Formats: sequence, C-alpha cells, structure tokens
Amino acid sequence: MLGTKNHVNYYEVLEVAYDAPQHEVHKAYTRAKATYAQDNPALYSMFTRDEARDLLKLIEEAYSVLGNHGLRRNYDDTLQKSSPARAALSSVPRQAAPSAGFVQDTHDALPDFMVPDPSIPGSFDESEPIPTYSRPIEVNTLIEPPRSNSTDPAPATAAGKRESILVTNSDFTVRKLESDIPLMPPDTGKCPLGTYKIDAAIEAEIAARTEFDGPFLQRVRVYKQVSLEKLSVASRIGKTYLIALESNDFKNLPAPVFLRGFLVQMGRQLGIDEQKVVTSYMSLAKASEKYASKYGS
Amino acid sequence: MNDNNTPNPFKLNPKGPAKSGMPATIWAVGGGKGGIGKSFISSSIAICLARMGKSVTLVDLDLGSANLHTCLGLKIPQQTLSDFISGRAQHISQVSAATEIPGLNFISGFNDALNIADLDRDNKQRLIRALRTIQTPYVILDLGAGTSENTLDFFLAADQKIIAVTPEPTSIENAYRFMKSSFYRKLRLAESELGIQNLIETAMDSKNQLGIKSPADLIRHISETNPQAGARLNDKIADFNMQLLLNQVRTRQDIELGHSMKSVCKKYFGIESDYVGYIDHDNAVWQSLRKRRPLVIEYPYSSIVGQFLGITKNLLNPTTLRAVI
Repeated sequence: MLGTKNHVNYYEVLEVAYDAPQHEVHKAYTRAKATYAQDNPALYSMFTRDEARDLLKLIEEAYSVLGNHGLRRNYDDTLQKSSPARAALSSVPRQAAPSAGFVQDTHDALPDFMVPDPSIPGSFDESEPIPTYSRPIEVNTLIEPPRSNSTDPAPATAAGKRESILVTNSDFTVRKLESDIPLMPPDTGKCPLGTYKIDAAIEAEIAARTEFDGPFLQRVRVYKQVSLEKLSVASRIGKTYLIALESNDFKNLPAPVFLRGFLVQMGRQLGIDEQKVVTSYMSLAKASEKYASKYGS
Repeated sequence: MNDNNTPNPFKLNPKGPAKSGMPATIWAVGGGKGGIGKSFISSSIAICLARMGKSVTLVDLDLGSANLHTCLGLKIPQQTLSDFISGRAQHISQVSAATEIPGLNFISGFNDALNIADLDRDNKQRLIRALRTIQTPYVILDLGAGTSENTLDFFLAADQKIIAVTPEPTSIENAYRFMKSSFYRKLRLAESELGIQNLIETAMDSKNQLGIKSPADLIRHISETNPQAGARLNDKIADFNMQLLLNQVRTRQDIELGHSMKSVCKKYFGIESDYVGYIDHDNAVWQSLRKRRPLVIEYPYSSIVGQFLGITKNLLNPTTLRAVI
C-alpha cells in the first residue's frame, strides 16, 4: 500500500467489498479516518506519523471517489476495464440481496460529496450558480498544525531557535524556546483561525463594505487563508452549508433562525463585523424568491 | 457442579468425544506481553466451550511460569508436560487430567526445572504432533509472554491464533511485536519450503529503492516479479489469520481499538484478521482469582461471562464473523 501508489485500489484502501452499499462505504470511511488519525494508539510501532498521514490522504482520496455515486460508477468501469478478473465481482448488482427490498435506496441514501459531476443529471441544478472557488477545494488536503518533516515526534531544538532559561533551581530547569524570527512579521494579520498576509487594499474594502454576500464572504475567507474544512470544524457548520452560503445558494440554506447563527459564527471566525454580515446577508436571503417561498416570511 | 435445578445459561449441545484419528482443533492464546490476561482468557474460553457441551483440553504451555492450574482453582497436578517431554509418559493423554468441570481436561506445564527456552527442536516437534492427537475435539493452548521461537512455533501450529491485547500502549506494542515475529517466522518457514529465499533476500536488499516498508509491500513485490512464487507464497500465508481479543476494556474508544488494529494488520501484513470481541475491565476478575475459583463458574450470569460466550461462539464460527462488516 505504501510506496506503491500506482496500483492502489480504492476499495482496498477503505476495506470495503466491491458491492458494498453506500452507507457501508461511508461507515468504512469514518472508521478508517479514526484509525489513521494521529495519536491513535493502534498505530503505535506499526506506522510512523508520516506513513499514517499518507494513508489518511489515500483514504480521503478513496472516499472522494467511492463516496460519490457517479464517480464510483466511473471508477468501477475503469476497474473493470483494467482487470477482467475483477469484472465479475464489480458487475454484481449492488442491491442483489432479495430480502433487501426495503433498503433499495441505501445506495443513494447519503448525500453525495459536493463535487460537481456533470455525469449525473440533476446533481446540480443548472439554474443555480455552481460554486466557484478561487482555489480548488482540495479533497485530500489535511488540516494539520505545521510541523517539521522529521518522523521524530519531538524534534530536538531546531536550528534558528534559542533557549532562554526561565526558572532554575537545584532540581530542574525550565527552558523556553524562542524563535530568532519574531513570531509575527509586521505585515501579518491575525484572525481566530490563523494568520495571513495583510493586503491594505482588501483590508480597506472589507472595512468599507456594508453589503456582505456569499462570494464576498468567500473572498474574505480565501484572503485570510482559512480553508473550508478548517472553517467548518471551527464553526461547526457543515461544509455543504458553507458552500451554499458562499455561493448565494439560498435554496439550500436552513431556516432564518439557523442561518442567522451561521452568519454570526462565520463573521466571528473570519474576524469581521458579524452584525454587518448578519443584517446584510439576511436581507439578501429574504429578498431571494427561493428562500422566501421556502420558509415563508 | 452442574445442578439440575438451576437454569443453565450455557446452551447445552453435547457432542460425543472426537472420533479417534480425527485431529483436534487447536486454539492458541498469545499476545507478547505478560499480565494481559492470557491465562484468564484461555481458561475462561475453555470453560465456556466445556459448558457449551464440547470436550476441551486446556494445555499450559507457559513453561517456566505455568500457573494455569491456579486460574482453574486446581491443585498442582501429579503429572505434567515435563513427564511427557522427558519420556516418562509415552502418550500425552497420560498427563491429561480431568477436572471437576464436565468436558474439560487439563494438561499442566508446571515444573520447576523446565523452561520453554530449554525445549529442544525434536521435543518441540514431538509435542506439537502429540497435541494434534489429543482425544478431544478442541485443544486450547495458553502461551507464555515473550516471542521466543518455541512460543511462536506453538502459536503457528494452532488453527485459531488468538492475540490478547489490552488498550495500553505497552501491550499494543508487544502484541504487534508478537505478530511481526510470528509472521516473519511463518514467512521463513514458507520460504524454505518453497525455495524462494533468494527472491525475498533480493527484495529486502533493495527494499528502500523498491519502496518496501511492510510485509504487505514485500509480498506484493514478489507477486509482481514472480507471479508463480507469489501465488504459492500467498497460499502459504493465507492461513495466518489472527483473532484479536481486547481485554480490560474501559471506554468506548477502547472497543474501537480492535477495529483499528484489524485495519492496521490488513494494511501492514496484507492479511485478514478477525476482531472476535472484547472483555470489560471488571473487578470481579481479580476477586474470583483471589478466591481461586474460575470466574465463569463463580459468576455465570455476569456480563463478562456473556462476553466470553459471544467470543467463544465467534471463534467456533469465524466465517459468520467475517461476513458482517
């Protein structure tokens, strides 16, 4: 599995059968993610942190394909072409179990990944703007604290750092590690979710702005170098909703009382005036015909 | 022992003794680290099997520090394995003693002078052959701690290879070490049988260039370079499937550890293993041990005995376990 990436089989990565229904794929993915999470004691002495990270990337990659109905079907086709022996396996109808009539829809029961897939008609409403990103969403990018590439979990005092002794007594010495480089360069801004390089023009625009719509919120997020995943974890808002929010996809947004909460969270996490965000976005949503008709007013 | 007036929580399904000549099914309980409950687990599973109506022989192979008789609440038996090894007893059945639990026989390994490391090759082979001839359908081996060659060989001789592990990092590390050692032992035996030492050595010489980091990579590489040898090697190691058993579970996360370890085994060794179940951490265990009464007999209706019953059923029928995700 490791090191021989060219013949990775996504089904083997997630350890699911070729005919596993979608809910099992999802379950296997959740389990695999928990298994190869950093600091899982089950990895101890078998996989290094770097190897576990590679495996996690692979797991994310596998789920981005197998978790999506259309992509999975395409992948099955390529598997079938590349290996005739496997063809017999993957051509088994997925809902073949005779007693499974009442779970006929399990394959579609879970929402597919929000990956625009033109091969599935109706997976995205053509009339709605398809979310565009100034950076592509990287499915297999993991959000992790920055650290060195060394496999050593506690790297020794690295070059460029110096120690200053804080407390000394006969028994112990407490040392503090200090970076030679100042912690924050002068042109670095800080928001609750990290640091970013300040661009005076954008800062001025944000300050002056009174109308916050989806695309502008997205611009602020990208400018402040906050990934969707990070924002989703910190704000506890599902990625699906964040994408809908950023693309002004009012049809897929929750009821006003929840939306208001989402906007407060989003404003707070991005370090912008949440009051402004709430009032302007809420009025925008209520003005939208689709949102108004869905939730009345 | 078995009072007819009290309901029996164990499903009674008596089967006659094995027909002579039919080899016994051997289950071995190993796990590397000491003190993780190997003796407790093997004795409990043996009693469960006996009370399910099967005939079982429990063998204490923790030579040098054999104390399974204490787990069972028995006195030190008159005849032990050392009588068989020294040749004083011609057949292994002569050192097997019936216990007060119907269906359960016990072979003690107790001897002050005999240590597992002292067992020489011929005697080991003789003992392994003899274990197969035991006249009960099930034979349960209680292995000692550590990864000595003899312990590994007994483990590999078993049909069901049970790895006991507790959720502590030390136990997990030793369990993996035990798995690795027995896997490489298996590989070494297979390679000399198949005559493919060269293939493995060449691969291991340049493992960094080839990106070989785990046994799974090694076997995949051999299958690519020499499909015929790869297929035979895969056949050989196919029966190396381990049964993971988690002991002293305290939290939900501990339970998940079994699934994680199963996945790690699959990704690292490239072999399937089963997670046969977990046992809760319970004060009743040490309390029954101090009373020198087996827990399964002392508290037959406790949840922990229920867990043992489930595990025993899973071990009796591993295929159904594998069918469920």
